[in-house]
Amino acid sequence: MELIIDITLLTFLGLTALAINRIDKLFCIIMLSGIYSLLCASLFVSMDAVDVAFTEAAVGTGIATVLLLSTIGATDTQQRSAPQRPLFALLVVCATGAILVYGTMDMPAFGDPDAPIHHHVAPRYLEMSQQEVGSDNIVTSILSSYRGFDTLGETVVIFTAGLSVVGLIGFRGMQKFGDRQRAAGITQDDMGKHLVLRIVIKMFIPLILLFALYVQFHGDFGPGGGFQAGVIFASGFIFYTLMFGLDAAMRVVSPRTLSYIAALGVLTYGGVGITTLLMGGNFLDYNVLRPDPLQGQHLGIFLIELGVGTTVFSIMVLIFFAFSSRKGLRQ
Amino acid sequence: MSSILELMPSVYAGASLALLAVMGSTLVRAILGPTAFDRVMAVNMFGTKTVLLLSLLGFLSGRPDFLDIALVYALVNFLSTIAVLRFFEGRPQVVKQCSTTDVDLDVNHDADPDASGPTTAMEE
Amino acid sequence: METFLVLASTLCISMGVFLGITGAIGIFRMPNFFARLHAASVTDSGCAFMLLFGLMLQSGFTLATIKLCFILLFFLISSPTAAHALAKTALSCGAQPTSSPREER
Repeated sequence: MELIIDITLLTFLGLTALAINRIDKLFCIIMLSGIYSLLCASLFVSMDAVDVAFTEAAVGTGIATVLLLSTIGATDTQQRSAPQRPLFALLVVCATGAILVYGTMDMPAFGDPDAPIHHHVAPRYLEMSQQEVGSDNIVTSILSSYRGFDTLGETVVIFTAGLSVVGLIGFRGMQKFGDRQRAAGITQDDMGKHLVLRIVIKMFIPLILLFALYVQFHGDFGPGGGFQAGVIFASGFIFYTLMFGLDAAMRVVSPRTLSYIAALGVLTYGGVGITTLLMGGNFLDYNVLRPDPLQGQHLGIFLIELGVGTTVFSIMVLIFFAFSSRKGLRQ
Repeated sequence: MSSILELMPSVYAGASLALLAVMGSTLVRAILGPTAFDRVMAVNMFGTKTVLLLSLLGFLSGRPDFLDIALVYALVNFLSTIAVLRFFEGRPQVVKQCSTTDVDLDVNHDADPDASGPTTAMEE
Repeated sequence: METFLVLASTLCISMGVFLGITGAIGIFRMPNFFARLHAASVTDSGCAFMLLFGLMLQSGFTLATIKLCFILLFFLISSPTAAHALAKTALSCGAQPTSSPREER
């Protein structure tokens, strides 16, 4: 049964990819890539990779679609065809593909218990994480405790990416938004339109933010954690911006505050590491935070998830603000 | 007593297969278009069906943890639909560019001048 | 009681699936965008409602039921809203709701 579902989903995935290749309307490609992400998440779920599916769900369809739309809004809706016939590129792609396929021959079969990955550190994680970390969700304990250093790196990468986007694109006329909107009469005009949407979204935003907090603090026990929570929280803000305008959203939280919050998140993460160093443990060794190692682990994971969540949230909103202060989405 | 409960997995399985068929046809609609709005509608419908499929999969494998993902999808799907609509709003030319046909999209008609024309003019 | 629950949820789920398939046929057979939207959105809400209700009957009084309840409520509000917004934007962008069967697609 699972097999049939997997095969069907994979077929759809292939169809979507082919269609994305054939169509030259960028808008259609964005819509299809939304579908692609939905399909990917379904596949991840059917393969039991719940946390990955969660991330894909939170990022792929929502924020990615919004950012891509702002991009084609600011540039062009048509794809420019390449003037030359890239025969060489085709050759390179075919060769690389052949090498990769050849490489998979040495890989163990899917789910093979003798595969090297199941003999290295995985057994320790699976068997000991209950006693050592005390988190019900093994993915969370690996991500934030065993591999806390990697996750710190990822958080810094997100932070850097956000800073680079803002540095490259910047904010156009940040101060002048209010004046410009008032001059164009958009604010009064928009209030009457979309009454249904306004009311519904006003109703949803608190629920979305609450759900994000649930995902943030429930990461120990179920799928989820700081990254997903940050993205969902940012989705709530994007809803607000789409409905009430960039000006109003920037009054809720200004880009300057956002960049401070983003830095604060990374600093929280690093600060936990430094604290553990000062308290006599290794970097990001949460055991020393409290007399009881398990409680220490709990506190440490809670703090660094909070750091990841705030960084991801503020960077996502910052990138969205930077994109839509160009002429992309209508404010 | 327990025999009737054993019927449920096959119900879930049948429902998942039917949903997959529906998803397939929605996918075809999303690829064919023809108008941009058809695609938005298809993606929205595809998202709904994915949420239902995920819930069913959770019950099929006996792990209703998956419902969190379904919940996120329900939410995010709505977000992307609204974003697309706000993107198109008041820009009929963009809609026309994004559609593969213009059979029922007549951009230059003057049937409803109060719908969007003046606001776009004012904005520029 | 168990038998009744199983029968009831089977009935609900098959109703939901039936509505879903109806919608899938609808988005292919209907002549223009507004008709297709109508077919899609009505069956979408109905399908989600019936299916999730059928699942709720099966999950008993657990956290899963509450989450299903949330998804259900969310759909009941968001799906018609999305359809409404879609139709409104399409109309304001110049899509013509025509009723003549001659009009192709």
